[in-house]
Amino acid sequence: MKYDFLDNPLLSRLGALPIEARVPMLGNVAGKHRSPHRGSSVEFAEYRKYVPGDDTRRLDWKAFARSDRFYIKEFEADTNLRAYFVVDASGSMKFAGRGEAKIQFARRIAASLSYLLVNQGDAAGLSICADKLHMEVPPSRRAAHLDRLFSTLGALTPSGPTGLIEALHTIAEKVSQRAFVVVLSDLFTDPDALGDALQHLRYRKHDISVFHLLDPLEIGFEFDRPHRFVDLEDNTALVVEPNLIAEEYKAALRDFLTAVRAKCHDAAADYQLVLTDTPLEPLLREFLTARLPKSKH
Amino acid sequence: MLFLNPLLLWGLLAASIPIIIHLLNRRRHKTIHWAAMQFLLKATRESRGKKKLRHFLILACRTLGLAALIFAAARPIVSGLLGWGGGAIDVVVLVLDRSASMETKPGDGLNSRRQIVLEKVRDAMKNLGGARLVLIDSASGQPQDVPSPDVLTELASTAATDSSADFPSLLTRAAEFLAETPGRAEVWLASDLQTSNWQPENERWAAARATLANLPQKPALRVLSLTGSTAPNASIRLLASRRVADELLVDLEVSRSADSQVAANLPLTTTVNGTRTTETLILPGQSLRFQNASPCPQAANRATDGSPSPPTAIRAIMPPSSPTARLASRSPSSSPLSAKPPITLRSPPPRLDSATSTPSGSIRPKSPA
Repeated sequence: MKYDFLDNPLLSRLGALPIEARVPMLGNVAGKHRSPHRGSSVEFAEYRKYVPGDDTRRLDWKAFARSDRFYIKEFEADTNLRAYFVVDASGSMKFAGRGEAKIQFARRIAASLSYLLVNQGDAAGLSICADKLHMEVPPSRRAAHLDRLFSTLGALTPSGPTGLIEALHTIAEKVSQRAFVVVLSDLFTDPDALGDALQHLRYRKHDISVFHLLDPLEIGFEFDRPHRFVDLEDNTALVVEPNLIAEEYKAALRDFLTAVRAKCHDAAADYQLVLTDTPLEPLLREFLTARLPKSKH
Repeated sequence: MLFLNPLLLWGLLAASIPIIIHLLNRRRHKTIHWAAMQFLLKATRESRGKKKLRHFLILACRTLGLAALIFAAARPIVSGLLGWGGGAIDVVVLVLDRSASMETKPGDGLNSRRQIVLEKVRDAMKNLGGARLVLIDSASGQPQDVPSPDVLTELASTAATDSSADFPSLLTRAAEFLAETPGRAEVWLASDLQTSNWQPENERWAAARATLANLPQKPALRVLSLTGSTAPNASIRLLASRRVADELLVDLEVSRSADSQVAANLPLTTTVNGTRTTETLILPGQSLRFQNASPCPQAANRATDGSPSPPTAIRAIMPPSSPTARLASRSPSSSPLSAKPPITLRSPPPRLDSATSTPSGSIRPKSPA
């Protein structure tokens, strides 16, 4: 296999599950997602009064016969979806404690969902954010585009401080049409700033999903002797006795998780706390199933 | 404050062991590259209060505990509360056990227990700064002033004796003396705590206690205990001797105080009228009886009438490098030697730690305490 983060049997099994948008999408071609505009699908939307300039072919003559008024019959429009995978490439994503490295887990999620999206006719793009690097692969529906996307993911080397907040603001500004934004990060940044960035995306009517990637060791903080902790982002070192500060550490992490979850909730973003030792299939299956419209459950 | 084992105070350096372990543990850390640094920094800032204080208190308690243990092992002599504020001592009454058992030595090459305790008392008195020293020795039982602690080891009243000690009487005598002597006093009992000397069942203890309790200023009682292991010792005893032809046959018994389960080699030198013979005895158990045959020089041992005469001097020696005993005999009379007192003990200096001399000249093992 060319890319070690792709699991073909898994993708085959997940192929039956569609990726649905939770908000109406604005696409440039017909697709399977709801559009805010009226279109020509078979699904009836509403009647509206005729105004001069409307296409007379869309007049409902039966309604005119009953009410002696002109009505235009409108149908739902189906369009495609454009997804942006925002992958955090800061140094902290290199961390691999008990599970695999967070960046590798992010690669697997982004690659699997991109494949599924392109496979169902939607467009997938990539936005990689680090301190000084902000690389983008624009979304495309073509199958050949996937190779470019995968190779970019494979060549990703995390380093330096995170540039997630700036990247989210940039996407909110640049992407004018509604899109599906998937954030893959450990979110080690200021929760308030993150909340602002998510609100910015929400204001632009994007559908947001956040995969919060953490290692089990970061949650449990189980060490049996003094350690010298070296920051993966700026190399500052700190020698501590973990037993002495474990309680405070867990409390600080708990507060952070609560704050991040609240910010995501405020921005109507899907929030998933993902431990890197979690099997990928149940995670994605649950994620996709939760996004299905209630009638399709 | 005085210490009976001042050398152990060097062990106070060991009190730093918990701190050293703490510092070594801090140096023995493992390096890990960590992502969630912001929580670690926050936790470190927050744990600087109570937890660090508790951690350092535990460390301090460990250090102080170890120091206290070593301090106690050095056996301090304190007056008053922890040695402060108790005031100066006016009189020290030294009750000295001069019994034979005090001549035992705690090890080869060391002084006897009596000499050791006298030296310790001498050093201790120097630190007490002019306190009056009164000696009550077990032989005389009378209090006598010691003009200076330096002469303590040279006094005739502190020398070795072959007598026993009667501690109930000695303590009563000390109490009587203190009743007549005003001032702050301490009674130091220097003894190896032999039951035969202390007589714990003796009814006079109650009287001694009562006398001490009735004193206007109760003295502090300190027991300078001189117990512990004793250097191995051996004795040799002449059982009989007779002359057969030109040989002198001597029946000897060697006994030892050391562990009788292990065989020991003892070199034995026999000198008969100046003729010296050395052989090595293998002592398999506690004691060994054997016969020693030594040639008698004809010229020296013939009487004027031509009849064989007994040897004029017999000496059997086990050198000091091994457990020591020595036997010497001068006998003008005929054998058997035990019929009259034919031999005399000539074993300078007397090793009274495992044997005491008897009027018959033989050496018998001392009964245990």
